[in-house]
Order: sequence, then structure tokens, then C-alpha cells
Amino acid sequence: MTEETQKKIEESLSSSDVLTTVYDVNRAIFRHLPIHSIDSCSLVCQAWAQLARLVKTQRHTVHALTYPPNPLSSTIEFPYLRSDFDRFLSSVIQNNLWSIPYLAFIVVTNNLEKKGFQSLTSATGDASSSAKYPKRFRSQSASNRTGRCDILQSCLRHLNKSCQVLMIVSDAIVASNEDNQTNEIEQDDAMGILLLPRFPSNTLGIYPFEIPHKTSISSTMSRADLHQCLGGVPDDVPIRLVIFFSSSPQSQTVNCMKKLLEFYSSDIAIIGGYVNRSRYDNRKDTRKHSSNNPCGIVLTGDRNHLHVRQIVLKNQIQTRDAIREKLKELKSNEYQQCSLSFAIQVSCVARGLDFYNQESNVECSEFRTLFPNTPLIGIFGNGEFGYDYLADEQSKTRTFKDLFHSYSTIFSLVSIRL
Amino acid sequence: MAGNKIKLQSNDGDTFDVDVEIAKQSATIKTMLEDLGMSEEDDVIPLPNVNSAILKKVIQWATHHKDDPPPPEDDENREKNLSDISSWDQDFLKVDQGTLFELILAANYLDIKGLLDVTCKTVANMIKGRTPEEIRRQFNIKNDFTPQEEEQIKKENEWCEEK
Repeated sequence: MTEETQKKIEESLSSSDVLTTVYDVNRAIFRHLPIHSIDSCSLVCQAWAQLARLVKTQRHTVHALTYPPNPLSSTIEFPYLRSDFDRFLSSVIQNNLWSIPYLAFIVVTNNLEKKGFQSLTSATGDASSSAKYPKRFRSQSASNRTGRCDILQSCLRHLNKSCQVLMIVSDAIVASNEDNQTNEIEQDDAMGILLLPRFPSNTLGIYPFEIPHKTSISSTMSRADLHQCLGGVPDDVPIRLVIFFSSSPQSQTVNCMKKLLEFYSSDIAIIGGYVNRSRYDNRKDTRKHSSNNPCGIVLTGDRNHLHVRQIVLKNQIQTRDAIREKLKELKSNEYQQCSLSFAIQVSCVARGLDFYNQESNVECSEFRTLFPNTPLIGIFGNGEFGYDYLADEQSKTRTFKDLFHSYSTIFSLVSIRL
Repeated sequence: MAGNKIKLQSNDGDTFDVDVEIAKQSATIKTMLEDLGMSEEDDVIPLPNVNSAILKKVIQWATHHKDDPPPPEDDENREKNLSDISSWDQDFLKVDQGTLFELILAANYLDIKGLLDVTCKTVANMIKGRTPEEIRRQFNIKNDFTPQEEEQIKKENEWCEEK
């Protein structure tokens, strides 16, 4: 090769040209970037801004996290430091998060939520993190001399600004990590986070809701008003699954269930339970939320795209074999064809370690064996709602008393075809 | 058929003898061979978009990876592990930025998915965790936004810059 041609090639080919003008190459590079980097890339130049916008709308991944990462290895006292949680969550967001979260569904143990994270206000504690968050840390440490940080706020400040948060507080939780290892966490303090992206509305509509204290749900309420109450679901969009948590058996909860069964007798899945508290932040209204309001998530979507199946492990199902047999009913052809899925587990507080002779993770590990790649999140509650909801039973009319259980576990499997 | 060779010709006139099976990692060459029925030993495939220095590197890469399983299909939703570049590839890609981008263009033109993946992953690693300004400096990209456009994108962005 002559020097001249070599020079010509070098001139014609600057890296910036390749990066900003060759669409295929651009695309191929962006395919390897976590969504946080895509966000940064959109501010580099016009061409990247366009591509970044496209990538953000096309990616849909479900992420599951557990904090602390090894919740059951309680050989050393875990300190629950705010700085450690900050490092954990910001590292996940910067390196692992693949699509923009629209809703963070958080389950947290009662103890941890009450105590909050410990923040060290000493000089050494701040120095390690101040490089990254100078402003915020200063204001936080000023307002937090007592050294306790609210769990919900700790999550909100890392999550993207459009991500809403629904947090359920209960005595015990079920949480999965990014490698889809799942734990039932009863004795230690921990939290689980499920991050759901926004989908095209016909595929999966996600409507988190909180029913304000004084809302009355009367027996004459219309379907449109009920939809309004449950996250503002448009009247012409049928509800497919309601995930419902309530802090005590209150009339709103009971009336809401009655109305749902009235309007959708056989055509809706409901899962939920009684928990200690719940908190919802939609990033919009700043009013103080009561932690006793019933709240949850409504899912909508076409039958071609969204598949929901649900089973109840009733009181008498107590062995691994019996659990496995029942869980198998969740499997379906639809599930096999779906590219994305997640699952919710609501168990009775009595169905944990004590129920299984101190063996931990019995139920969630049976689920894990059958559904190795499906993120699972859930709570142990004081009373569970749900019923078997399987393809061949969808014509069955449900009555109010089919819904409430004790000493049971309910699994809902949500699969999504894009 | 094993051991069959074909000749690849770079845009500056050099020819390289390459095992057919190795050359077929390039979907572009594979299509040429199949569509044109080029299988005779004395056929020469001209590659007008690749110079000999780069073609040599590409052949070196394809030879090393000749027994790899076919790379998985692209899926926008599958998370990629950014650290899974093999040590051989890491050494292979210890080149200046200009060469790296020529390799990317060659991999794109020749449609060698594995090579495109690993080179793009390398570039992605250079982007990850950087600010927009750092990225522009790294790759010599011009900021072509008006201040208004830049403001608008900042508004659309999900994470505020910690600045």
C-alpha cells in the first residue's frame, strides 16, 4: 500500500464519522450500553440524541433486585448503611439497568422500614461519597443528624425522575436478584425491588394506585368510577390483574373486591394480602400519603400480549411434591412463547420456616425450579386474596368467598409477548 | 471440502489465501460464494471497502474464532454483559482508535457478527460511565446542539446530570 492511499484512508475515516454517520455501527454500539449511558449519549450530538430516543422506547426489561445482596447470610451483623445502599443502587442503575423503569415495586421488611438506613455523619463517612453527590449529601447530612434515612427517599433519589414507586411493608418478604435467585426473607431485614418498564399500552398497561382515605366505594359505583379509583384505568380498557394490598380488613378493600367481581365475575385475576403499611409516590402530588391506604397495581393488556395465570396453594398443600404439582398448572404454551415475565407471591406469615420444619425458601425454590428465568417478588401477609385463575377456569364465576384465604400462598404469573 | 481455499483481495491489491470455512464467517462472503457459485480455487473475491492491514487483522480474528458457535441473534431487550470480552480478543483489540473503527467498518461491511459485537463492545466500554463532554472529547465528536436543543434534551432525560 502506498503512503498516499494510507493517508487518504486516514483522512476519510475519523472516528467521529463512524460514530455519528454510520447508523448500523451506531446501533451496534448502543446495543451494548446500559440505559443510563444511553441517557448520557443523547446529550453528545444530534445523531445520537435521535438514536437514544429510539432505543429508550424500544427496550423493555424487567429487573429484580435484593438488598442486601445476600440477605440470608447473617453471620456478621449487617449495618444497613445508607452509603452502602447508595453504592449498591447507583451501581446497578449505571451498569446493569437495561431499560427505563416506569414503576418500582418495592417490598421491605417491617423492621428495616421502621429503622431506615443508618447514615454516618462523621467526616470519613461523607468523604467517600461526597465526590459523587456533593450537593445532595450536604443537605442530607444537615437534615439527618439523627443518622436515619428513610428507605423510600433513599430509593427515589437514585431512580429516574419518571419512575413511580409503590412500597409494601410487611413482616417478611420474597425477593429475587439479577441472577434470579430468590429468597423468602423472614428473620433478617431486607428489601426487594421489581423494576417494570413502560410498555405499549395494548401490550401491558401498568397503573399503580392508592385509594385515598375518604374515598367511598359504594355498591352503586359505576365501572368507570371504579377504574378511576384504581389508578385511572380508562373505562374502555379491561382490567386483567389487580395486585392489591391493604393494611387491615377495611370496608374500602372489601367493597372494591366486591365491585371488581361484579363487573368482571370470571375474567379478572386478583392477588393481594393484608400487610403492615404501604407507601406510594407518583412523583407528582406532594400531599402527605397515609401509609394505611389500600394500594396496588392494575395491569391491562390484550390477550395476545398479556397472559396471566394464578394458583392458590391452600392450607392442605404442605409438601414439596404437592407444591410442585400445583405450581405446574401455571405453565402454559403462552408462557413458553412469551419473552418477558414476572411473578408475584403472597404467602401467609404462617407458611414460612415454621411451616416447613425450619427449611427456608421451600415455596419460592419450587417456583424457581419450574420458572428459572422469571423474576419473583412478594410478601408474607396476614390474610391473602386470590383464586386459581387458569385458562380452562376463566369461565368460572367467582364469588366473594373464593377470594379470601388464610394459611395459603398465591402465585400470579404475568407473561408478556412483545 | 475441508481445506478448500479462496482468495480475498483488499482494496490496495493484496490477495490473501483463506480457508473457505474461515472466510464464511463473513455473511457477505458466504452469500457471494453461494449466489455466484464461486468455489473454484482460482476465484478471487475483491473487497473494495477493506485495506490489506485491516483485512489481515480480520483474517487473524476469523482464524482464531473459526470453531466458535454462531453468535446469538440480536435482541434489544437482552442485557449484555460488558465484561465478557475474552482475553485473546482484548489483546487483539489493543489497537489505536483509528484501527478499531476501521475494524468495525470492515466487520459491518463483511457482516461478521462476532467481530462487530466484540469491537462495538470495546467502544461501548469506552462510553460507559462517561459524561457527554468526556465522550465527545474521547471520539472527537462535535457538539452540534443549539443551547435550546440541549436544554430540551436535558428535560427529556431521565437522570439529571450530577454536575
